[in-house]
Amino acid sequence: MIDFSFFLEPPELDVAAVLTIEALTPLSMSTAQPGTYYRSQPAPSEAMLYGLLENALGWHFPEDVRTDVLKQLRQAAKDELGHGHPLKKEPWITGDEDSESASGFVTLLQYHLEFETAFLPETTHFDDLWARHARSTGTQFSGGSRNYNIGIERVMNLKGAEAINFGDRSSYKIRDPEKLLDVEAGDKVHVNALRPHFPQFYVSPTKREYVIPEGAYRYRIRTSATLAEMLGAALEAPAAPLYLGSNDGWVEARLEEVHP
Amino acid sequence: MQNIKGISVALLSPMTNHTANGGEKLLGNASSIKRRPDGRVYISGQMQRHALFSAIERLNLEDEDRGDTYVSNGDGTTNQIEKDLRADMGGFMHPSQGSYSGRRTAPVSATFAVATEPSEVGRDLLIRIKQNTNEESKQKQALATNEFSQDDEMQMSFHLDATALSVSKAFTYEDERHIKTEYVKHVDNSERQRRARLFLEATRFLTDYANQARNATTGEPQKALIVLDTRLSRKAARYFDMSKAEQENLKAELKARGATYFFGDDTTTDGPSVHEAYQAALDAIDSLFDPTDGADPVPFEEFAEQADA
Repeated sequence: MIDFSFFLEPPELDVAAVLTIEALTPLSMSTAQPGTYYRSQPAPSEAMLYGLLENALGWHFPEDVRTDVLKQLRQAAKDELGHGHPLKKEPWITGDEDSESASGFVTLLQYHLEFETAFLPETTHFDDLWARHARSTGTQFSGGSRNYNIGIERVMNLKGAEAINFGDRSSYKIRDPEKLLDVEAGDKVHVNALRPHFPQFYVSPTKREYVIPEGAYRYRIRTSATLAEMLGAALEAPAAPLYLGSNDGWVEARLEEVHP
Repeated sequence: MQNIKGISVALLSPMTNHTANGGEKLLGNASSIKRRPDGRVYISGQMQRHALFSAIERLNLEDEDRGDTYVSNGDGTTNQIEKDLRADMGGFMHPSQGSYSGRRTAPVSATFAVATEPSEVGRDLLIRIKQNTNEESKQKQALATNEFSQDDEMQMSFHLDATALSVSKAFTYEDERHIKTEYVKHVDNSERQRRARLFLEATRFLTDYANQARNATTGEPQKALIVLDTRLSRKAARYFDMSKAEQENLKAELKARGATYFFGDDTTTDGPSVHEAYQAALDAIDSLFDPTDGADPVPFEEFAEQADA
C-alpha cells in the first residue's frame, strides 16, 4: 500500500537534508533523444534524481497511471483545502508549472522536494561502442542482424556472393515472403519479403559516453517533514535497486537531515 | 537463508592475451580493445550480460527440471515470463502494443568488467583470407591487426533483484490518497529458486566473449564474494577495490542486517575455494522473498490483459 498523504499537505519545505549518491560503476546519463551519439551529462539531471528517489519508493507507474494519480491527488488536496482557499491557486494544485523531463516523466515529488545546491565531483569521460538494438521500416535490418530464419540460408548465400540484390525501390519486384525461397541469381528482392524472416531488432553500433565520477554527488535539498521521513526509510530499504542513467549505472544513495 | 531479497556477486577473474571485448576499428581494419582513459581494458556491461545469458542458457539445457523453459535471443525477446528466461531475468520492451506499454525492468543487472591495473596492450598481425576466389572479384588480400591485452585481473559484478524475479506489479486505487500495489507471480516458488540458482551458477561460467577473437577467453573467477542479502544493495560490487578496513566494515554491515556472504579464493588453501563458496551459497538459497504472499502463479498474458502493468 503506497501512502500519498504527503501530497495533500501544502508544500512547506522546512526540512533541510543532504542527499549523497555514490556511483559504484561508470555512469551513462544521456537525455531524451540522443540521436547517433549518446552523450552523457557529467551529473544527473533533476528528473533523473527524482526518478531515483521514486525508484527507491517503489513508484514504478506507467505513464497513464502516473497522470491519473496526479489528477486524483490534486482533486483530493483541493477537497481538503475547502471552499475558496487561496492555496488553490498554487501551481502544486493547478499543475500550471509541472515540469516534464524530455522523455515525458512527470515526477510526483516536484512540489514537495527542491534541489538547492549541488556539490559535484570531477569526472573522467570515455566512449563505449554499444550494440544498439533498433527497429525501423528502413532497409538496414538485414545487414544488422546476426540471426535470421534458417529457411533463407540459401537466399543469404546468394546475397553474400553478390548474385542477388535487396532494396526498397519499386523495381524490386519480389515482395512476397513466400516467394522469397525460390529466388535465383540476378533477382531483385524487396526488403518486405525479407522482413518476416528476421528478428524484431537489428543491431546498429553506436557510441555511448560514460563518466567516472571521482567521488560522491551531494545535493542539499529542502523538503517537507513527511516526505523527508518517507525518503529516509525508502533509501534505508529501497523497493528496487538504484540506478542512474542506464542498467549498468549502479549507485548507492542516502539522505541525512541537516539541523541548522 | 530464507526470504532472500537480492543476490550480489563480485568476482575477480584473470584473463591473459585476450580481446574479450573489441572496440572500434581504427583505419578500417585495425581492431582495438576497449580501454578506459586510465589505461585499463574493460568489458562493457552489455557484453557481460550477453556472456551471462549464454551461460544461463547452457546450464538450463543441462537441468532436468527445466520443463519448457528456454532463453530467447537478445534480438527478439518474448514476453512469456513463465517460459522465456531472458524475458524474465533480462526484461523486455515491446513498444506500440496499444495502451499496454509492454515493458519489464530487468531483475538481473551487470557492471562493466574492468582490469584492476592499467593494462599492457599489444598488436597481433593477421592475414585476412581472401574469400572470393573469382578472378574478377575486387576484394584484395589484406593484412589486419588485432589488439590484445597481456595480463589482466578483471573485476566484475552481477546482481539479481530476487523480489522482482518472475513477478509483475500492477497498481490499483484504494481511495484518494492510497494506491495498492498488486504483485503477480508467473511461476511457482520452486521455479523462482531454480532460476536464482541458475543465475548464481552462471556467474561462474562466463566464456562467451568477443565472437571475432578466436582466442579462448574465459571469465571464470579466481576470487568470489557472494552475498545473499536482506536488502537491495549493491555496495559489495566494489569489494575488490576496498581497503582492508572498508572490507571489514562492509562484512560487519552485512552481518548486522542478517545477510549471509560467502568468500572463495583459489589462490590459497586457507579458507574456502571459489568452488566451495559457490556450493555453500547455492545450498544456502532456501527461499526467495515472495511479494505475493504465496499466491498462485498467473501466466503473463492473462495478467497483461487485465492489468495496467
